[in-house]
Amino acid sequence: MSVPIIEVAGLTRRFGGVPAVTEVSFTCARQEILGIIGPNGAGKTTLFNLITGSIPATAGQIHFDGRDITGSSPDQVARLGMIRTFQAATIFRHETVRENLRRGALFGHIGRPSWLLRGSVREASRAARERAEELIDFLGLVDCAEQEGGNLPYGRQKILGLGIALAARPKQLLMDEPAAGLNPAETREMGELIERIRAEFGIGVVLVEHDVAMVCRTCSRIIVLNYGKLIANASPDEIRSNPEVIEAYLGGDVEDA
Amino acid sequence: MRLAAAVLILVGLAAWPFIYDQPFYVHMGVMMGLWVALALSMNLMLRIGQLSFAHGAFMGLGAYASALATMRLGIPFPIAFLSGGLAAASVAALVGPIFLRIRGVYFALLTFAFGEVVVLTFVEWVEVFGGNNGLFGIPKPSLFGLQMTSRPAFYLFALTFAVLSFIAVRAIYNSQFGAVITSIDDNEMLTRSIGIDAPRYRLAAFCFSAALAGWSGAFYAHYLTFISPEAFGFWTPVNMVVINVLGGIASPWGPVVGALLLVPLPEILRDAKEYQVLSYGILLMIFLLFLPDGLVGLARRWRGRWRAARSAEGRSAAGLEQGKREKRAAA
Amino acid sequence: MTAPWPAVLPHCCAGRHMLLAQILSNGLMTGLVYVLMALGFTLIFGVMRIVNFAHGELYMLGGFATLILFGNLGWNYYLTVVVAAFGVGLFGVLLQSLLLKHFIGRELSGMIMALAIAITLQAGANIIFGPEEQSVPRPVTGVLDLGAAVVPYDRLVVGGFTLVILAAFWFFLQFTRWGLAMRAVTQDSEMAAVQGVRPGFIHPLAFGIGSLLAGGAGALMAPIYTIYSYMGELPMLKAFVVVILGGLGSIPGAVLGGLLLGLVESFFATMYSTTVATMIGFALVIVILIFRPRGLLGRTA
Repeated sequence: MSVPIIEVAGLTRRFGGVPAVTEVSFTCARQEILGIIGPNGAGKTTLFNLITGSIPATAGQIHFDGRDITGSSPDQVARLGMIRTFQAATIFRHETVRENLRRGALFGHIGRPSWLLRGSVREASRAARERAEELIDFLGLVDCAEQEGGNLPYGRQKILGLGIALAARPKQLLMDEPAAGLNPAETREMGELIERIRAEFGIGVVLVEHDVAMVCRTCSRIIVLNYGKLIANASPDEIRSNPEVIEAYLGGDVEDA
Repeated sequence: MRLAAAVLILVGLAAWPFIYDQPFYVHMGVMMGLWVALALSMNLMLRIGQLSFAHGAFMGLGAYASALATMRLGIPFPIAFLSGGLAAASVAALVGPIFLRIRGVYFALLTFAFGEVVVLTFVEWVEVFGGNNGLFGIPKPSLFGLQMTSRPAFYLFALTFAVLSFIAVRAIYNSQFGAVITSIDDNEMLTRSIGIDAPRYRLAAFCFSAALAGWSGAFYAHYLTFISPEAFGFWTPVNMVVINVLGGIASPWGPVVGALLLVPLPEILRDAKEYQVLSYGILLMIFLLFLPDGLVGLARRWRGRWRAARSAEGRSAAGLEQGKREKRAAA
Repeated sequence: MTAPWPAVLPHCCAGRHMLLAQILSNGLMTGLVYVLMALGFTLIFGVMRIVNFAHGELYMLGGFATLILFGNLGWNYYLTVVVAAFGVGLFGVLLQSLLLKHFIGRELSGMIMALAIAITLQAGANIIFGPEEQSVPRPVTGVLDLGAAVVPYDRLVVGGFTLVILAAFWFFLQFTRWGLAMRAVTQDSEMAAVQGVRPGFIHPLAFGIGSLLAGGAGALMAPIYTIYSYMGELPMLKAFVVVILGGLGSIPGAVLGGLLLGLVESFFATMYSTTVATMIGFALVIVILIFRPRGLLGRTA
């Protein structure tokens, strides 16, 4: 296997002295689908926000695609090719599906106002329109391409949210609870979509998820967090029989397991 | 066809003072041009979702900068005028990175305090700004040695300034820049997650808005040839907001319509200034309560209704269904 | 303090002490009025999330009520203050239920609606009472000589009245059911709603009490300053500053911020000029908003 695309080393974050994530280290290979699970309050979301630069780390390093991205802002991380999606359907509600996707494809090129003056903007803008059409087909949104995003059913809004991220041509996707708010059929569809994204675009995915069954179905490897610490890093089968993981889920809030 | 109509209207707008040279009406035309530009600068701020009370100060900075540049440094008018806007934009660029981190009510209060500090500086630093008495004898604009003295000439200047401001702001809204700032206002988290450096975009909008206010101030100074700090206090940005609310915030036409309607009001009710202010207040309340999209919004709704009446009837049922779905999605 | 003393002052210790005492007493007296204004302002924001730009106009209404009742009709001054305060309070309830209640949770429109009310009231007063500055006789005259400082009796009356109002307000918040409900809403409106606090009742009540405090302040200050339609602008600016110092929506913050601003201003006004004092106030606002946006005592997000 080649050099990992994400390398997290000793990542720590404290909120006013209270540790939320402690000394977490893991790597993620290219084109891997890696799941992150853990009981409520285990630090999954914090870990996610640390990797994407939404909040600064107290200690530790993050490397992405051979570059040290520790301390980078979310937009810098995004422009390097690591794009995240959100737990709730996060789209531009008042714009059409097509425009949503176009923005996803274009905004990386015009990250700063001064970049609007570059000659390549016209070319990027044309490419963004094409990319939007491509994704409308890929995601099966042809029949609603001209509808306002906010008028779509929730499941489709989540798919559109993923589409915006995909439009930005990421090297790596980070997905925050892709199945949250979806019914079982939609959850299955989402899982298949993630697999298709890897197969057709060669994009690896790190996903945080509550739905353990979905993670085990979709991911080739799973890491488990508890109280901000990494307690397991293994294949789905091994995870299911890991006593420490069972303890974490049964000992804490059982509601999610 | 539309272009021809626009040209015809513009020619008409430009020509009337030369045919009907009534000082009072021409003056009103000049003030309308000024307030169109000022209201457009506030529209940019409202577009990024921030209510700024610092815009009176930015106007003042432009006015004093241009006036002092011509009076004290003998800089030719065109350069002084340009430097007025740049002075305001530079101050905005200086304070913006800090101010723009703050949102909503707090931003409004922060800019309010900043505006007061700037105006108090004009009052207190008498040697430079002339204190409460302000500056007298600011030279009238001149270009290539020709001084602009006639009122219609001023009116042409004002008209050009307003039209250029409008074109610039509209171009911004229709450009990729416009798409970015609407995206940021709509959903900043998402916009940043796909690679937009939101603080810089917000700063750019803030600086451009300040520059527009600064140029308006410079124009105001050289038109009246007299400025004093009180013109740049709290009520100036409030007026800009009033114009926007009445005209409608969602389109650059809003500030234009608002200014054209509101600026003549003081003149119509000239003998009773209190009634003018009273009608401002009452109009504002009525619009906020019943016409939150302003006059432009109202016009659009009427046009939409007219179109809807002509198209198929079945759409209303589809719309209802859509509303239901939306509710379910939100739940 | 290392600030330079003006050269005109005698460089003896007694002079400095006297000056300091005077600064303190002046600062305390103005500070108390600031507290009165700021408390209402912060209460309204805390409960309804509306920045009440019309707060100064409520103060102005209190002033004009004094002009009519005490100045023209010759009522007893203390009765006038009480009636003016409650009258303005009732007016506030009306304003809230007719106009402002539609703007709860809409910060931008809410601010603009409050501005519209301010503009309308100011112009209305201008039309009814004319633009001239008017005055009423002082109900008490003379000064209290404390040796180190002199305090005019009328300021003392204002201070005393303010303390009574503050005590009543504190009692209301601490010990009455409505007061407790109101505090609950300022602390966490969602939790309060869950526990059955009805906004339909608490909102007009809060706006009414805020108006009452502003009207009371206006009535109290009317004999000391002049009465005219713009008289509320300055007190509102002060309320702004105070409330930001203390944290928007924080009641203890308003008390602390008011006294602090009164003292700071009194110091700079004595040492330099009132403009410098005002500027310092606004500069403090900017600094605090940048470094501690929720104010000195405000909650962190």
